[in-house]
Amino acid sequence: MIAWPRRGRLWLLVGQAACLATIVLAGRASAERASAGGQGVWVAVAVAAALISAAGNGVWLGTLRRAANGRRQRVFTRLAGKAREPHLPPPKQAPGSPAAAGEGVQAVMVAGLTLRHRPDCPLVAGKDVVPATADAEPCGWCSP
Amino acid sequence: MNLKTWLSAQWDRVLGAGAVIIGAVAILLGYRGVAGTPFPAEQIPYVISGAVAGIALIGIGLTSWLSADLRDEWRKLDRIEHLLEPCDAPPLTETTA
Repeated sequence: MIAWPRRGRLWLLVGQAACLATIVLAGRASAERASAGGQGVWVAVAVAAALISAAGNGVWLGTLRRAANGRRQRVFTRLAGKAREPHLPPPKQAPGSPAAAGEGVQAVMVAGLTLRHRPDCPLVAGKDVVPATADAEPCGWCSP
Repeated sequence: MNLKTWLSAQWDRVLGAGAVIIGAVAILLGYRGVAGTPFPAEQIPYVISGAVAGIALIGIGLTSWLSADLRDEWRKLDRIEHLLEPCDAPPLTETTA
């Protein structure tokens, strides 16, 4: 398993707290000035702190998104590789058995979907399954 | 799931929602302060500590919420990889089956 990216989270929290503190202090400092002209610098300080805060948020979300995209791609690559792997032919059934007769009694499908699976296929694990219909397409992974 | 467990599991969403609510309240209070005086020198502190601080808080809250969504996706990918792990053994062959 890959750990959720935590690197830099402390710096983000410290930076956001510093930006908020700067904005609050700028508001207090501007309240002590009698003229609007003297408050301009505090307005600039507050806006700069807000912009730095927004930039920090953007960098953090970008980092998380890149990590999640990489992870998603890795999982999808593994899934695609598994779906392409050759599978053993199904065990030979005794003549006259239901499976040998093509009735496919073991195949299941997730209600509302179109693929039929073996009951132990990981793609249906934990899902509500129903007996597969005759027109359902076979799963590329478990090859029912 | 009791409240304490839920809060510890969803702390970033709680933080995000709280920051957005506080930011919205700060903007409203800032607006009221600005509307209550005709003098720009008295309005500017409300603009800074109301509007600017409110917008910054809303940004922090939304970031925290989006971060929680990405963390949930990460956990789902964890579960999928966990399901894949037993299948990562070399495939059986006719001779070993």
